[in-house]
Amino acid sequence: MDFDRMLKERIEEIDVPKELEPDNIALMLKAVPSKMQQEQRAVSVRPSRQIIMRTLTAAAACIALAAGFVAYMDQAAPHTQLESEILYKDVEQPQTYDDLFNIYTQISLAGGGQSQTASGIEYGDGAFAGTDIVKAEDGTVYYADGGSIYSLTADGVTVCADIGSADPAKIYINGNRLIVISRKTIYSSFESAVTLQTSEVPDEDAITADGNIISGTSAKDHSQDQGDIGRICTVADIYDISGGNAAALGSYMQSGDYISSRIAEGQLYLVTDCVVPHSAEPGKETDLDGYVPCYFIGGEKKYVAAEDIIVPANASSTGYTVVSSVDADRCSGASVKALLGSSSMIYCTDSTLYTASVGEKDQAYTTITSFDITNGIEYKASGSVEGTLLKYGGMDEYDGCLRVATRNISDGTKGTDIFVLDSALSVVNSAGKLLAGENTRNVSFDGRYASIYVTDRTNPELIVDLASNPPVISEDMMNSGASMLHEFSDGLTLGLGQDDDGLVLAMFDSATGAQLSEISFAHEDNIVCDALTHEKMLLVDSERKLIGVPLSYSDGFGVHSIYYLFSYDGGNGFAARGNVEYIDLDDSRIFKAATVSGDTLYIISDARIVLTRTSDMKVIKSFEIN
Amino acid sequence: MSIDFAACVKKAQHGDADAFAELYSLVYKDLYRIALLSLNNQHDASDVVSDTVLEAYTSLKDLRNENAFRSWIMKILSAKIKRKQKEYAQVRNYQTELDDTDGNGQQGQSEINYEGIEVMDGFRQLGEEDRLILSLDVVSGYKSEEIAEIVGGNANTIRSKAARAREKLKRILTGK
Repeated sequence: MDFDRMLKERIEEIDVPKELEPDNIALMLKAVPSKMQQEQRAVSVRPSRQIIMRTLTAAAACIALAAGFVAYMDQAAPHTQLESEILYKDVEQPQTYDDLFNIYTQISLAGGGQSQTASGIEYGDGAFAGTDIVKAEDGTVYYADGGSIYSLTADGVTVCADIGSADPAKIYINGNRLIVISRKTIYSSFESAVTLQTSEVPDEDAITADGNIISGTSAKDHSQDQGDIGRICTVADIYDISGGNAAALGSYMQSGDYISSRIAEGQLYLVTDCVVPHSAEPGKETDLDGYVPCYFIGGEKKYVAAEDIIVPANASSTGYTVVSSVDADRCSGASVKALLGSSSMIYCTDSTLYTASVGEKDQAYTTITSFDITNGIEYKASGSVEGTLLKYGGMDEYDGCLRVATRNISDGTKGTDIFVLDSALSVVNSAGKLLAGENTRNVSFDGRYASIYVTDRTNPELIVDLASNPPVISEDMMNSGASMLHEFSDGLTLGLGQDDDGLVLAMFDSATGAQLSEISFAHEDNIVCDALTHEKMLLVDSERKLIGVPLSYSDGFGVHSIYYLFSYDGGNGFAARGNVEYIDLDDSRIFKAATVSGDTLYIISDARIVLTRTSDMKVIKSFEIN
Repeated sequence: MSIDFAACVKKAQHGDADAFAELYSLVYKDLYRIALLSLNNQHDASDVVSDTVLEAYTSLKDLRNENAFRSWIMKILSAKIKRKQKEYAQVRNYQTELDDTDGNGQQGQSEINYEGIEVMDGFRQLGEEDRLILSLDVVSGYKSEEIAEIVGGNANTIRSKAARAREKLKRILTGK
């Protein structure tokens, strides 16, 4: 269970003393001397709990009250125009590290803290994020799991490399290169460079300043003894897969936690959110580790040049967003830039980095700034919207427009809005009127649609078509019960939902929201389908028009893990290709990933890999894995 | 059942105790739980809430924006919690009480269940300011900017403190 939810549930189990219940408080207030209701505050009389108890006892003996619970009706905050003054456009670039140090110190002294990224700090017990899986040109499937890279073919599964991270952030294929991106914690002294050998270092170990590897808990002890500081870095390990195995070629690493990456024209682009230790004290200007992000390439540590660091005019935090490009074939030629005081929230596409920060001027507002990251990092535009950006999934770009979801909770009222901003970050559309009174917890953007969740992630309260101006509620999609929407192809949106009867797949016309086809399946009791809330678990192969859904259900024999495969044909709608039980009655095993290569479906769990024919789901082969 | 919130505030501002109790019913659980988690003492938490109610009732006419009732009463509560925490620091007599007798020798009316005790133990291991910030976050779902408005301070600093406190509490309660 999510930690926050667990904590909230336990706190809500704490009972309130009876004397503080509303009906008793009403009695107490009626017994308050009239002089306390005059203009001046009563500062000298403070009834103790004992007085309250005696007052209530006496009052209750004389007065009978009807207790009742009243519900609170949320009211939407009125829509207001924001003043243009709160937009910020200017950026500056320090020319020297001394310039940067001064700016950094000012932000730090003004109370600027470290920022959280849009990925936030997620507390999840077993939350499934999906396993990255890629296919090479020869049809070999590669995936990373449990500290290893596996290659899959119809002949079997092979461990082709051991990587230093049990949980890679991303893997790519670039020609004959396999690129694995993962997180590392590096302990280094301030004086020396660190030799990078991350592919040989397990995640829990550490690298010292002189390049030695210390294992396990002693690493932390060593760091404390030596006064080292641990910092989170993101590493890209590059392997040559031309020979069938994965031979390590080299690594690139930069400060910060992984945000985003992409491969384009032979270049690997990496975006990280960097927290540097504070050392904004006089005399610490030469201590670059204290305020400058760094990167490692070719075994050498380098600091981002002062002139490659951008500082927005209203920078308010001491975190950096670091953007780099590296030759993905040779792991060389790094070009690195950084943005200081970026924000508390970041969203990244292939071409644009969006940062968001929240402020207040009569009401809460969110300022968005965009940067072009196709060639380094260059300022593009800025704009502001009402409300506080949703912490998770609050920004999404589609068809050249940025959608921003905010909660407006100023003045004690609650409301939600979704704004659509153009490339200049001017508001061109808003769904506020549709969402009046709604207190959104999550928003999921799928193509032109936004699903708004008020209580949980399985039943959207509203599905809104944002491409329509003004936005409209998509009644068909809502009536279908779809809780997960996924862009299937141009003009088609796929929905997955669950009703009393089982699971439902539906296909909609993206332009009108009209339902085109529907199929229900898995009618067993106690169905659990994590793909309803974790999009990565749903297989959508638009090219082959295939949809795969993993689920499980329990009966008197145990837990059955089943994989369903469907096809979609515009003329005939959905067709069931079949299903297979891919894990034998073992509820401790979990689904990892699935992909199609040629006519073969690969279903990967942590215990077994099952290959089936996509035509009829007949099992071709099955491999046990550790 | 729904209430006409604005009308309720106006009536309460004219001394209508029942109207005030209706407003109070919307926030009383949060008020008590925030006070209890911040102070770790049932009696003091009850006292603080009672003081807050009395001050809010007598000064409700100072509230200009009726829609801000919730955040307004939270500010009053926050100030009283901080004052009580200062008293603890001065007296150096901070104890956790799970059972209590009042002046008449009767048992305290509220009991904390097992899970509640565990959470309170966890909160007790946090710093005093962190307890207040985190309880405002978890109990009432306030964002950093709102908490900064309630307790005073910089929103970014509040955000960092809340994150650290949550992380520490998670380690205490889950061992992870």
